[in-house]
Amino acid sequence: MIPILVTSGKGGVGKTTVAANLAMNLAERGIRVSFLDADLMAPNAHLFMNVNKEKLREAGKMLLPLKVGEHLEFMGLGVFIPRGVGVALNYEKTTDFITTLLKFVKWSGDYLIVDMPPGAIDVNVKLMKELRSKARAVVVGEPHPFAIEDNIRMMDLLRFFDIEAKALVLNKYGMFSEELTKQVIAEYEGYSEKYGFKIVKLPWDPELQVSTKPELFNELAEGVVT
Amino acid sequence: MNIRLKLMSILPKLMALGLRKFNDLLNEFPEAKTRSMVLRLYDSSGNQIAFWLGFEGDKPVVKEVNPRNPPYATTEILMHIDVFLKILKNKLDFRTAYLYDLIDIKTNDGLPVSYHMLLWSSFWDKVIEMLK
Repeated sequence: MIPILVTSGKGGVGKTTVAANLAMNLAERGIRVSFLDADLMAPNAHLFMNVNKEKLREAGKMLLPLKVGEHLEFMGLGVFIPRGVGVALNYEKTTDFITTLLKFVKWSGDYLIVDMPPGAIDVNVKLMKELRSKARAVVVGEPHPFAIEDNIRMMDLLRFFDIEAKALVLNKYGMFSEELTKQVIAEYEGYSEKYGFKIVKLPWDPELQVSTKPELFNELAEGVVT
Repeated sequence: MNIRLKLMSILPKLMALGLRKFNDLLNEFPEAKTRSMVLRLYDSSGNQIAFWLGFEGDKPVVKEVNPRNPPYATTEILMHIDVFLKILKNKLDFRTAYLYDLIDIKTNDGLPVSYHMLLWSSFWDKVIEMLK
């Protein structure tokens, strides 16, 4: 199983949107996909997956992921922790949850899509340490200077853990001024040439905030599985 | 109020559940057969009582044990008696209590604490449903 970390240095840029649509796109191609919502403090990917509160099951000292579709399975705390309850986790509990979700879930996918929390917080560092050298990454950003500032730090962290960034998704493309967008793209292109990742432009689409459109993610899907 | 007196408020319902509905509970939660629990309850004066829940052969067992030297269990769960009563009366969710550090869980079988917490929470959900 190949883990694909969907990450970004900045919050609110659309990681979960990209992760969920990428997972569905791959699953529609007949590829077996597992999806882990690792955003422990703000788990909401289950909304995209259309999974409601479920009873957890165990088989042979492993938790069973929830079946979302023929080729797609899901696990995340959003389904098990009551809605509206603030998830207060210290470092010990955080790493313990990550261990459970990574190592004690009976994942069966060819790919494990991991929806990460933003930045270099403890959950991300724990995940990167656990998956170093095995994982690929998709970095999500918006075409503005704040996102690029945070994302070049994130890409450095990925390199530190030997995780190959396969693509950078420029989400909400066309939402910001043309001049700003050109500047940002020029800078990202420099990094893209240096480190060999693909830049995928995802045009601004308000419907993507509330629904999934896996068909828009062909370029990204082809970029990460090759 | 004494910890045992507090527990008495829920005991008749728990006994009825144990006597009449335990098989229903096991059918809903077969994972209980492969794990055991030492449940430690304490009060604000520092008094503590402990129960061992699990299986002896095929027979489900709940028994009071010495909190200083309880038998082996896959999981040990420690909470204030008021927290336990709130959980059983469906006024506090087991997972929420864990997240807010109102419950301490220790595992003795090498599996992560959160693994047991998530599975035991399904068990308590079922117990609470049956106590209604």
